[in-house]
Amino acid sequence: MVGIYLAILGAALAVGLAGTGSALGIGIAGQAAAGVVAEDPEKFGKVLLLQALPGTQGIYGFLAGFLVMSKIGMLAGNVIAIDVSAGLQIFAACLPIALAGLSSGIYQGKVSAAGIFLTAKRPEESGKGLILSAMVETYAVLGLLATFLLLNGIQV
Amino acid sequence: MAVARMTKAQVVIHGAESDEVVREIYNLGLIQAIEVLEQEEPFCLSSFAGKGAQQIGKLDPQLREVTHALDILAQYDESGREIIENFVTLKERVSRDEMLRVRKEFDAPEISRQIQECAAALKHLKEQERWLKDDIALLSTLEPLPFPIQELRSTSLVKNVVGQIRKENVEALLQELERREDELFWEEIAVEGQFVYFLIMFSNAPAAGNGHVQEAVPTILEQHGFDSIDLSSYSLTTADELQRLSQELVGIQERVRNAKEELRGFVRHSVSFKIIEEYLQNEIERCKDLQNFAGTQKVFFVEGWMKQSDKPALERGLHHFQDATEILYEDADEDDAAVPVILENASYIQPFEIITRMFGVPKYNEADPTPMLAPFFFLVVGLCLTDAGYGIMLSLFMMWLMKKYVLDAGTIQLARLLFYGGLSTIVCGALTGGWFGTILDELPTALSFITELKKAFTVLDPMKKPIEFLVLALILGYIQVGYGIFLKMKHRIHKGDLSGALLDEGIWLIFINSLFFWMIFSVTGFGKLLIGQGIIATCQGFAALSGAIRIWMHDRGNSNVVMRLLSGVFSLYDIVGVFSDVLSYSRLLALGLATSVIAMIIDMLALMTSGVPGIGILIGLVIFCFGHVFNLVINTLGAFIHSGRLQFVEFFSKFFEAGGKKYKPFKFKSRYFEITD
Repeated sequence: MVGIYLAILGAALAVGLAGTGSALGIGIAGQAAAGVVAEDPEKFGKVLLLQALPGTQGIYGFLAGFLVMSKIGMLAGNVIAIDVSAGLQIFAACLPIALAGLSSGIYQGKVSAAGIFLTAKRPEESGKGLILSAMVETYAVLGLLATFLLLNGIQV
Repeated sequence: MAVARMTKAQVVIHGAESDEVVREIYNLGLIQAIEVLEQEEPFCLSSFAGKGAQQIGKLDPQLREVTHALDILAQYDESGREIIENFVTLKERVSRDEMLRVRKEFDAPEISRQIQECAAALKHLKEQERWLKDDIALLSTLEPLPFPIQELRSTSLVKNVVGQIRKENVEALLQELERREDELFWEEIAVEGQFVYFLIMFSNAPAAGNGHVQEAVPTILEQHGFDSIDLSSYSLTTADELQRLSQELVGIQERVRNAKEELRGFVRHSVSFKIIEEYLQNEIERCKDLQNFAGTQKVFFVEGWMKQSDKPALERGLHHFQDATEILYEDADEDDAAVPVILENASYIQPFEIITRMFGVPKYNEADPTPMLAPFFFLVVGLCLTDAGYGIMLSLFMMWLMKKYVLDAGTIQLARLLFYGGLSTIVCGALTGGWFGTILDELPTALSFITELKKAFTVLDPMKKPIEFLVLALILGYIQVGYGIFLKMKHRIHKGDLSGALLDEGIWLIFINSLFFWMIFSVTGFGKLLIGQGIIATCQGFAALSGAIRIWMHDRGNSNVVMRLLSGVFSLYDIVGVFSDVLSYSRLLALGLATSVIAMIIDMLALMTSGVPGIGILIGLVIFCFGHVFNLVINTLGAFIHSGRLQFVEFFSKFFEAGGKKYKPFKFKSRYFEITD
């Protein structure tokens, strides 16, 4: 039972922390976006795009959580009785996306907000703001990749 | 397939015809005006510069008026905005003749004056409406007054005060008033919200012995925050006054409605106003550019950059004036940094110019990287969005968008780029077995041939064989990185630095490739064969040789042997850079999986809910549609951004500098309209 508990805890952290990172990031960017749209409603489409960028961390976290759930058989309705060590392994494997998602989500939100201000001043350069924001996402991607490869290698 | 060759055109025009010729050059739109930096003796810029500034001074206030009128009209424009307008600018089609007619006939100053008058009158009316409403509210509160208002005039003996006081202060006031009970009369009229309304009557006569009531009372009232209300403008009973005011209000509201109608009537002129606004904007720009041209009393001189291939077009356009003009050409020097850059590519490569432009236009002496990044970008987008169903949706949506709306040139290119992305995704999705997730695996047995068909196409499913997919992504990354280094080598050879290019980039390419193939052959077990061992030994030999050459040749200019060798050894550390660049491509696995797994989750949810009796199928369908659209949007965004990022950081950094100047032609630019002839 403890093994299953640990696995679920890992999934919960992956979803929760990465989701928190995205929520905070999109929130920060959204405040900047509302300010820009108040001045110039024409820019809505561009700033929406920039605001949406930090959203991927939450999705990656959800993905990791889902993979854990499918690994322990929860989705099929038939939970495997995994032992404590396997549970701990799964828990540890969830940490990369949990932590990378949390931190990169917040900071990507900050860069997105700065990109939104860039778009306010120079609307034709919004593409550059998009790229600057995407640079931060590299680490969330690597976190997901690590989690995925680790989960893949664990035997239950 | 490159940066267009540019030339500096110098058109010398005989003074009398100069206005017409300049107008013709403007209409042709082939030249970008150069700022004339040096003022030589025979050229006097001052009179032309002055004329230009004067003209701009006249046009600016006109432009402001027109823009102001457009802003007012925008508030009364009831035609709905399409949703798509939030993201894209749509254009209206207008014929050239129509534009000229509007410019000649539309009396913008008169109509904008009318609009502003109307708007000002409306504002005034709304204010009056507000005041009336306030008065009506007040009188309604005072309705319970026991006497008609007209009788509330103060007489010579009695002073009447009606006023309001905040609820919190009532207690204190009443206590105070009760002390003078014999000299006062007060009655509470009404309670409204925070306030309580009182009528207070007290003696007005300055008679001895009454304790100076008429001074004391107002002071007391003021102390307790009692605000008296001025009712001197009302003379009838409360009810009559209310009726009078209500009638007035109705009248004012009628007039407000009429004013709004009038303004709405002006909305039909919006298009004409936009035409005039753009005309004024372009005229002002044209005057600013004109200030860059120079002239003497007899001769006018226009200097600008244009494409070499446009020479015949310019000559044809100015053919009519050939007696009065003389055109001289000076082809641009390769290394001139001031030359503006125009990208020229085949039409199927043009959409990828968006990516290059996002990073920065190439310098005049650099190669245009667009055709080189195009195939890689095309492939990488497909690999990130590994779902054929999404590809079909994306391509169809872009085709529909381009057919239905009139878009500006930049948006059309973006739509085409997304269309290509969709095509690539269809191919990659089919090869990885993604068709709206795994829904096709769940078909009833009657349709199982579709599942078989899907399996036939599937070459490599990242969900089942992630490591293989990862290796594929890394190999693609390695190829692109290697190609980038190769392009740098090619560029240097083109510049004439053959030995440098071969010794730096050439040797490096041999080094990393020999290591790469050594690794590949060892890992795949090729080494067990005799020929495999031979090849691996060759690779090792090349690696050692090229490594040694690099160590020796890296810091060629250094005379100190020890430093030279040391810096050469350190330069081998660049291999770590190659590793990190290639590893960056592992995101293709992550992104591809993200799309596939989420699609699978949506399919599962849809299937689960469709088990619910009754409306289950409907809910399942709704989840299926919204879920997949959401997944498509999120992952398309990610796919394009990460693909672009890979080009910029891993590919461009090897060979591309950017920093070229944008091309800004001397011609009419329209934001709202597409001009048809």
